[in-house]
Amino acid sequence: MTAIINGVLSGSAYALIAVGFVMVYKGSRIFNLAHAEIGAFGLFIAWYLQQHKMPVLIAFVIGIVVSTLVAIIVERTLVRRLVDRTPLAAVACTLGVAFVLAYYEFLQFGVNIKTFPPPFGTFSFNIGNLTVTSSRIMIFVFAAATAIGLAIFLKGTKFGLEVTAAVSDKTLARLSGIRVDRTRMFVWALAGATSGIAAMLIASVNTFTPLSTTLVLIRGLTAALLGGLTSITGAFVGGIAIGVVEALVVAHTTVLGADYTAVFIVLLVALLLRPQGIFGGSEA
Amino acid sequence: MALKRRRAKIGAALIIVAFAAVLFSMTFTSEYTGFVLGLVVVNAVAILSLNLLMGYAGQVSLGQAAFVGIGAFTAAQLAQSNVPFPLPIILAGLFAALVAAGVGLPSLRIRGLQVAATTLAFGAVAQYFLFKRPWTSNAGTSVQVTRPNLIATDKAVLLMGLIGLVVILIIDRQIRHSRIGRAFFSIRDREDTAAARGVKVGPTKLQAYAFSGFYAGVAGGLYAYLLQTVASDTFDVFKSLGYVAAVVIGGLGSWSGAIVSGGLFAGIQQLLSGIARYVPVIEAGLLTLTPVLRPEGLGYILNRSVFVHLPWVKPRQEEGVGDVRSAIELIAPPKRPLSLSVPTRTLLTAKDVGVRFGGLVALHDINMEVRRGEIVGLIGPNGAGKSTFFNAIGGFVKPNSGSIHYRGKDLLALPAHARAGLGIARTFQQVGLSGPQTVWENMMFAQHQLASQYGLTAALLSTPQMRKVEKELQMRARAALEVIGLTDYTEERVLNLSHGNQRLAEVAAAISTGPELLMLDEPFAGVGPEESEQLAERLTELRAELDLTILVIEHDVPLVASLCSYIYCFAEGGMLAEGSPDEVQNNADVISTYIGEPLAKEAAGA
Repeated sequence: MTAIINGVLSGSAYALIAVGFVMVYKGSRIFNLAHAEIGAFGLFIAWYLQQHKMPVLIAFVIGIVVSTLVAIIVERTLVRRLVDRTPLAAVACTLGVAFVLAYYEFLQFGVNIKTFPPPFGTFSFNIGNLTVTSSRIMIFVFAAATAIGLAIFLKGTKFGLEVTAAVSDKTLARLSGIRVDRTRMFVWALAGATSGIAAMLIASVNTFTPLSTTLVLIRGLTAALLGGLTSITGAFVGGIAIGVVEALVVAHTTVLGADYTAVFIVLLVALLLRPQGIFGGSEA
Repeated sequence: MALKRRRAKIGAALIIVAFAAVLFSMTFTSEYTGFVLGLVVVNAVAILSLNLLMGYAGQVSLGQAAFVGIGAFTAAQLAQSNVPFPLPIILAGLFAALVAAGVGLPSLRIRGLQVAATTLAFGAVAQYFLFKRPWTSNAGTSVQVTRPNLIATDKAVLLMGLIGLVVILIIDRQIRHSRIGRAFFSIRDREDTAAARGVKVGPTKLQAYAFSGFYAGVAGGLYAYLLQTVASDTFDVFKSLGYVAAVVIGGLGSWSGAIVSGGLFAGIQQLLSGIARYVPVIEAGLLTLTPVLRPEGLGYILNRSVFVHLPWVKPRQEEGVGDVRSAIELIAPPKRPLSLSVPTRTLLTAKDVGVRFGGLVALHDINMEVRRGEIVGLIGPNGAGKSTFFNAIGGFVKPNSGSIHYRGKDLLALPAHARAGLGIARTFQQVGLSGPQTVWENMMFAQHQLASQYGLTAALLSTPQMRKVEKELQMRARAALEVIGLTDYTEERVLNLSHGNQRLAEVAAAISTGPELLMLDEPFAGVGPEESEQLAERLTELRAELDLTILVIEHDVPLVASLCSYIYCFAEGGMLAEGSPDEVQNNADVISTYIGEPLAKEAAGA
């Protein structure tokens, strides 16, 4: 039970990563392998500032801003040139971005293990005999709020509909007066911000290194695929599922790497049995 | 043809030069340099493994280091169990091939690049789980490998590595120049065309993963003997990234570019320790920029700026078939004599065919008969279901009801790739050729079904049988180009051709297979009026010359009327009318839903 609750809480951070990933995919049909790393970059900057005596909440906000800016820069300089290229080109390019950021973090901040304080202070309460800390709850609250907000935004607002339209038919959208480039940039910015939030929230409950932040991508990707790649709800549920699976595995075995193995097996089996994902097909 | 020959020669020349250079330098270099060069060679083999997967077959692997690692640990463990050299390296390759095919399994179910996620996840599994087991790395430490006397020194291992590299390069060449590689290219560029030409898409993907795994495993095996110790944390995500970078910077699908770019980075990192720290950043940066600025990569630049100017690289002139008449004889199958006899035998019958996509009825109650020697037209408004009907014949759409028979054979019982072997050839509404490839390469691939006369082993060993078949394919390709009149564009990339010529090239590709039934999906779309008339004339001639039966989808009613002897008109998924061109053109329903009054009058007047 403890494992499941912990899994749901940490899974919601993966969910947040997955939601951003899906949004970028919907918004530009690009498989953004740099998605998690863009958020991680914001985290490293925030961490650095916090180490230099900046209040954590302000560092947190700056971290979000940095992630957003990085996402915008990547979109403006690279992605817009890739839209009409082969999907493989986009994969290669965004992978390159991810590792440029990762190597930069390596060189600048070192490989030693780091910690980031919870941005909203520390408090905790009990559910039965399980102690839940503030940061874990905040992950969940933030993730759920972001996902719900995005779903409402995409379905219910004019701008959200423009985003959807721009994706499904670029030319038609352009003819209807939608500025496709602008919508895409906005989507990337939004995704960058969520990625930054997710990275900092994950870091506030776990330790982190430049490598560990890179590998968060695996969980995010898996969650997005489980959810069918185009469904925000699906991505969210997928993220929670991955978190629970991981927590259960870690609770039952001390074998190194068992968590990755479990994630891989879940992904493999899911893709073979239900390639369209849990929520595949629906564009919610 | 010329360019292809040229490339092949470059390959041979490069290998010889590199070999000579290394042999020469080995006489005076230190053991350490031998070791560094050995690393570069092993790296090159690993990079080739990813080049095959990504560059040739268009499948992604973000965890390629895992396969190299599996090879390394397999070889190391086998060597420790006293399996004699060089068996461990070969077994390592085979085992890694097996694992890679397993990791590639989801590619059977999902399209596109989502498989990237499984390979990435597998990379992490290998790094954190597999390579920490007692049976791989002695529980997270390392395995020692004792070199046999034959390769006791680093220089000797380098020589062994070079031999391994050359073997892999030869295998790679055989793949590229046979039906195996052409199948890879086809699933990379156009999966639908691939299936229409008889490629089993799923198994071909797995084959690509397996070959890639084999190369990677061999690289791992070589690595084990070179380093004499295989440590648990060698094969990580960053190494996988390095391979992707080398392949992309080298130019996807360019083996020489991949080797050069990989060698460059490995060499710099080993030899210039001052900047070694920054090499990965530079590499990642170039990986980012190459797809944006220079998608063709280093290989293309090398080809253009260096290789073509080398004195021994001379384009070779190919002899043509001669005249059109002998070309026709070449591709017209002998079992069907050239004749314009009255068409009597029914070739294709469709009965009550219905297709539904979810709730949408795309086709219903379609009955059709195509007799041998006819040119049959299929007209109707957009969305009438014409292409869907073609797809039902081709096997890309499964009818919910009815039956389709070809020469009395139940087509619906056969998968798409099996239908290609029956003598049905088709073109696509969106030109079904591979744009990045040359007309020639497309022509060769079009005959995939004929190429299946030789198997994988024959392709790798270049047996006389394989060469005989390839020779025949080349003859047929040349003949078909001659018949269509496209010989001037043989070496042009398809995407550089005019739209009309792309259509012609597609028809050429279709007739090179010696088909009985030719299905053309809007062959005149986007083609100018003059070119259209020429093409129509050519088709009528071809029917006689090659004893073809033609089923053609087209919007231009006067054109269809002049070309066809019988016309079917679809509307909203159903059969609106059928009959002779006159009957259909004067049919009241056809006029009101499709042609429209003024046009009908004009057509009647013309």
